[in-house]
Amino acid sequence: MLFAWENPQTCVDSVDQLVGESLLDVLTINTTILDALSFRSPDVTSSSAGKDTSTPNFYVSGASWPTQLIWRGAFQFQAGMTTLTIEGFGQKGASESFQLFLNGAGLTTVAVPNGAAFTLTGSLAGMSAGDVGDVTVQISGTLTPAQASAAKYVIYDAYVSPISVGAVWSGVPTFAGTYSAALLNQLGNAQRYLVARLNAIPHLGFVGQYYVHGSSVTGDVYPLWYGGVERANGSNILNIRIVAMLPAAGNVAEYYRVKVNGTIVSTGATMTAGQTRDDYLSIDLSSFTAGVRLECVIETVITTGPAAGPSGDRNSRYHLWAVRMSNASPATAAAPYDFTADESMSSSSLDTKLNALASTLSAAQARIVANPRIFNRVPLMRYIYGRDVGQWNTFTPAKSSANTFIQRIVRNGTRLTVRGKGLSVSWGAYSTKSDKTTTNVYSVEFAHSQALTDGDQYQTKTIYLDTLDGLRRGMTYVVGGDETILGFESLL
Amino acid sequence: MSVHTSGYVAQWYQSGAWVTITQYVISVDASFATQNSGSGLGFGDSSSAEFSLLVDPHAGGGSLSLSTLALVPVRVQFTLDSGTAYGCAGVVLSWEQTADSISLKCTGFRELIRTIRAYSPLWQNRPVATKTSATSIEDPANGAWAAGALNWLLFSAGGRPLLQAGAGVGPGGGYPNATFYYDLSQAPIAPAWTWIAGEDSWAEAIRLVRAVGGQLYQAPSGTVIYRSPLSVAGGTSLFTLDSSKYTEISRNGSAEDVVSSFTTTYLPRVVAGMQEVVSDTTPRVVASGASVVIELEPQYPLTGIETDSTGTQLRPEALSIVAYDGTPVAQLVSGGYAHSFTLSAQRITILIVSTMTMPFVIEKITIRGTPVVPTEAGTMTIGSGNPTQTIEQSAYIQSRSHAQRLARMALAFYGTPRPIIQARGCLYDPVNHQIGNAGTLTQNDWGLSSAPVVILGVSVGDTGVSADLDLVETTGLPKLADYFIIGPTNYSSLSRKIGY
Repeated sequence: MLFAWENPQTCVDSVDQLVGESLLDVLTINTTILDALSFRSPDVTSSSAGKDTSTPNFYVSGASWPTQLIWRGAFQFQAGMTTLTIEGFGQKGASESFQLFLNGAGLTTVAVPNGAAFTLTGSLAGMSAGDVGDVTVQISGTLTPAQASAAKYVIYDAYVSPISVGAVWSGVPTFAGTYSAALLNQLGNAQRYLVARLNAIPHLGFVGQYYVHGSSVTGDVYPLWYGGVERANGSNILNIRIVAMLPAAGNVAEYYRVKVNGTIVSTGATMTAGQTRDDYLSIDLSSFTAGVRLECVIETVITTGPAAGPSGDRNSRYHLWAVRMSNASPATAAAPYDFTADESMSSSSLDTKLNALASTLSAAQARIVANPRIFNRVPLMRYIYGRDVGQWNTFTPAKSSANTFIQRIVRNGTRLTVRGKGLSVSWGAYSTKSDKTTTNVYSVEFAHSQALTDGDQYQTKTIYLDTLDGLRRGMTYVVGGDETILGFESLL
Repeated sequence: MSVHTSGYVAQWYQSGAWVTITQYVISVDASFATQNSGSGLGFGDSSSAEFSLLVDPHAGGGSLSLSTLALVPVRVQFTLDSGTAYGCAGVVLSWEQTADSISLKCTGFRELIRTIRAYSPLWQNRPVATKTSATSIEDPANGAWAAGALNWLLFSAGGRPLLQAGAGVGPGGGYPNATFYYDLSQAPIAPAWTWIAGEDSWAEAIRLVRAVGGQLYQAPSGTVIYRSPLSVAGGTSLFTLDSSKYTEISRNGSAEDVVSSFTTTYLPRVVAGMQEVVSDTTPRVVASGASVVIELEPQYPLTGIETDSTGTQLRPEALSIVAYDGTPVAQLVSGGYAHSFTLSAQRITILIVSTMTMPFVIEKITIRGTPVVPTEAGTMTIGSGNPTQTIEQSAYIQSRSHAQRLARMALAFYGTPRPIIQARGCLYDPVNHQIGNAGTLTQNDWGLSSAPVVILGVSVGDTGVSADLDLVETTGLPKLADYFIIGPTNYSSLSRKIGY
């Protein structure tokens, strides 16, 4: 069984309160958890997906598209947050501008640069704790087909900041033979502070892609995913979970590849018709600069199309389930001593064990301070890909019986907050519906599912994940429905 | 041969004061003991506290009023030489009158506690009992109150901390006229969630104690005591017993006392998301200008309920109230209704006041909240081999680690059989012959020489002259001094045990 953080008991002097297993168990388990969580990796920012969904070099053009949505995401406002920030790269096609909106209100308009980084910011004034901010970035300005093909807009990062917690770091105690309430409560307060800091940063899912299609045209380089990744806090490894499926009458030769800042960092094996691959990639990005966003693209290369020629039915299919950064060997502290009631111990031995807890907590706090790009900002959750309602309805479960794009979350925390309509949470074994819909999308069903919100109105809800039978920490689940505005996990 | 003097003073509580009735009392007999104590140390054991007064209603030319005897507090103070202490205290449970006398059958204060319907807030990681002292904050109305469920329950039942009995003592200003007093140790285990929601508050108190170890009983003096298991042994010796101080002694044991392992079940609880916790469709008519109090009990304890932004009002959709013609009645306006609510862990009390000139009907009450719900139960065993005993299942044992600690504690206390020793015909010492008091016993035939014992039961006879004592030897029992205790003590260069 995996353990969860617990609020430590308050200690009181001279009331015969024992330095007991019940107190020490909580302190040691908390320390282990907080230590591990302080090695949190930078969040990955999903920008766009396949070329159907307005992605670099594949935007729509013409007078019917005077504006074009390129990114949408959301966050939940908490007291102390002041600023919304969007960072990325822009290559203008004509003389178009970025427009940033928060809950439908325009915040700023900035000309798209000519092949350079950009930053959009906006004030969060007027929002109250618990409010959900629905953020959109669109392009204003008509593009010709050539301009749409030349343009490139990639969101590298989207976040709100700063974070504010009520607790204050008051250091850690040193034990030397005395086990006073002041010392033990200081240890507990250190844990409360750390968990408040860590809890302030939600755990986001990844917009999982199920059965997205590639191409069946020889020579095509077809994007699957654009986004931003970052090396920080010892996380140098880019992990990608990708499943490739080539139909029996599909491409004769195709492979996928991963590029970071324009450099190919991983190339998948060449596949041929009828082949399927399920790959977990671990790509070392140590040679890239740390502490900055790095553009990442996953794309497929069709070397030779189907023997019978290109066709929608012969397009390759992909699952893209995860893109994330990880720390290959986080320097977590040695497992704390597991205290047992009634065991005899010298005070010096107890001092050593308690001071080890204090040292571990102090190191965790230092990591948090050293990594403000991870711990002083709240990343936005990417809305499902697509440029308009028509696409969203196609790619959304309840609207078309498909769930091409769906929030995929690995359970870390205690609480799930969602906003949307007709939402449900699903987990366990998945199966695919055998019938293909007219829009060439497939539907995936899960063994377990539970409704979260009504289907006829937008609702914000909190779900304590322990109440979902069988959904344990470390397991993957998805959140989807008529429309998912927001979904994130909290530790507490 | 020693010559002793003894006496007694009997009183009952009427019209807000203790009234002496010694002149009516013909005799007093009493029996106080921990129950179900096969090994003498049963966790959570209730106490039997029974005593009777035989009264002559005509003595001294006075008279006794029998009209309101039920649950009237009664106490008897005994004196031996220069020592004086209350040896019986409780309430009248029943009475029986003959032509010449009245027999008052009395029981301990648990009868008062038992009849209380108590609904507490929900507490997290709070010891079941916190130590009472001259300065401990016991009144739940005090904003700094952070005591345990047992403290809350006893205070709510009219009890007050013994160490704050004196006028001006403690944060509450002293309680010289409390219905009864209590004296609590610090409980060694803090369950994840505790709350009180019961018809029988004494039974609930016992359940709390059984979940964390220790004993709850009423001492003959009338004080309700929670004694941590670690406080059983190691106390200051207050009496000595040898063959010159009793007329007869015996001890007994049973195969049932032998235990090699303990099995405990536990039922974890988690906070569930906001959901409907009360749906009451009982139609209630409220007359014009009238008010109604509605008590609703959700299935599980609640950490909170959904309110409007003020936090003091239920959301408007929670109350479906209509006029006789079906028209909705508005909230917080003249010509409508006002309301307030109080939330306990497992009870929501709503006061609805009509401000209309016509009656209305409360058609439905729907309240959403965050319940603490049980999840997957588990079982664990400490020790090995047979016989195995199963610790009573409890809603308060909510984690594997809690179950493990409780079972380990039980094994430490019950692993060695401890026969109950009965010393008959002792000269009653009202000051020191109290349940829980430590002393020594010498019985050469059994090889006991000044062996440490504690009193489990006291039966007072001959109106306070003699007593039969039930005792248990405490050699080898874990005691507070064996453990690291939170406080200013410097343990440098010392070894102690890790507590529970």
